[in-house]
Amino acid sequence: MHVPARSLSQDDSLVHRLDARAKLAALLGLVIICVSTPPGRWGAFVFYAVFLLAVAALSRVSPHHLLKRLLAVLPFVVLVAVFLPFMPGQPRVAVGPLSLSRGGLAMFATISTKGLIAVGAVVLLSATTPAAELLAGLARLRVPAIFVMLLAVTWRYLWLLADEARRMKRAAVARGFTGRWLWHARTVGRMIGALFLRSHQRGERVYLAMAARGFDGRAVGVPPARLRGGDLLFAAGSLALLIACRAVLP
Amino acid sequence: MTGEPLIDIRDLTFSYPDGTRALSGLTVSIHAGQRVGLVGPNGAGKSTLLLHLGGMLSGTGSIRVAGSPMDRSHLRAIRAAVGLVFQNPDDQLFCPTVAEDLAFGPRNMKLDEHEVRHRVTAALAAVGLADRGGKSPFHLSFGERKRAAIATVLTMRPQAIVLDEPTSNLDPRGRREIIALLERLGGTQVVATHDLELVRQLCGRVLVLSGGRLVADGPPGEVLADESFLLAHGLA
Repeated sequence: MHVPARSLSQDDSLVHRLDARAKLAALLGLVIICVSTPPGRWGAFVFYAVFLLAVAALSRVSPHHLLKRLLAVLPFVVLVAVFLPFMPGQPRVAVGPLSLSRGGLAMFATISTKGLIAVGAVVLLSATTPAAELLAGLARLRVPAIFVMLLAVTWRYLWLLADEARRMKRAAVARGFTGRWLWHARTVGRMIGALFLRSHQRGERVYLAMAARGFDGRAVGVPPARLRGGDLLFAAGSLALLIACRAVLP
Repeated sequence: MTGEPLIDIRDLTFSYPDGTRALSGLTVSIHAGQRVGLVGPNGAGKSTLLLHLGGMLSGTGSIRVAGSPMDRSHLRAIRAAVGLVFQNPDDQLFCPTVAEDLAFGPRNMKLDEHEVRHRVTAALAAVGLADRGGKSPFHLSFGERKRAAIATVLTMRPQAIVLDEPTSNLDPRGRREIIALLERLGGTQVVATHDLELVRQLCGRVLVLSGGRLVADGPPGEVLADESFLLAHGLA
């Protein structure tokens, strides 16, 4: 696994050029507004989806890529809700040999829709904003510096960890390891253990290197940057529109 | 040499918690402007000594940097005075972008943002990475990351740069670039390395550590010329 040399977030469009704070406000705003919308308000949900599609269209990120990322997360969302239609309770609907609860079905539909829209918003945010800008945006939105630093360090070392795992596996494969049989679980377990130990040791070295540069446990913030008119307009306009729809649409 | 040494170590002894004696009775002083090679076999105590210079470990004996004793109240000043560059650049570079990593030290020093940016730009240029500031360390070559790691302490404008294995794992060109960079940077440098050729080329003085003791201290031309001495201490 590699950080792609040219990721989607480095493309250029109106949406890419927006300040990370504006996108965070609008898209995370959408998540909160959507999740808090009562079930059955299908007019509102349709509007959220249309809003998301409009921003996606403006961003000119290829739908194929967005869909691929969406599909990677979606099964987890659906898995949470998939048993709801089988709950006890009246009235019931028969679908072939299955007897489903009508209320459960409605809940399944609502939760899946909310999940789809929320994940879509986050996917769009990450596809149009480089990680470094996203983190700076969070810091400028007054997210505590220590959380931002944790996220930054996680993002940085996740790739190294994946790389290390890949190298370790390659070295094992070179010695005839296939990872196919049950007794290989023991090897995989050892690899995970070794990875954990290495990461722990790396963590200590990273900390030493940080301490050598005067780090005393207090994360330093990022310098402020001014929001442009267009950023404010996008964030305020989107939020106003979404809130209005949540209030008005059936 | 006259005047007070920049780094003054007296009778430094250190054992790791598991009982391994890493340094025994080390006494050495380094004056401003000297470029000193620190050589010795694996496990000789080189890294342990470097960690002491950054105040990460504290053994018995005394260490003074720029006249201040190594203690809690001077730690911050000493860490600003001694720029420690670790061997693996992936341990040093922990930020999403190179420029942010370079700004980390100066921001910890509470410099104002204008000065921080100025230093970041200057340091990027100094190590030949002027166009790489916005990149993720992951997208830099190993040689570039090595140089970026050096730049992360240059932005702190330290009085001495202390480097652990600056040329390890580098290809010949990467190695040549690091050597040229160290030569260009000048100032006080302590270079722990297995690269004797680098020491011969760059350093006016070499310290040989073996088994936690200082076994030689002198010009590389003399110290590193004795083949049987080098063999005895695992350097040849």
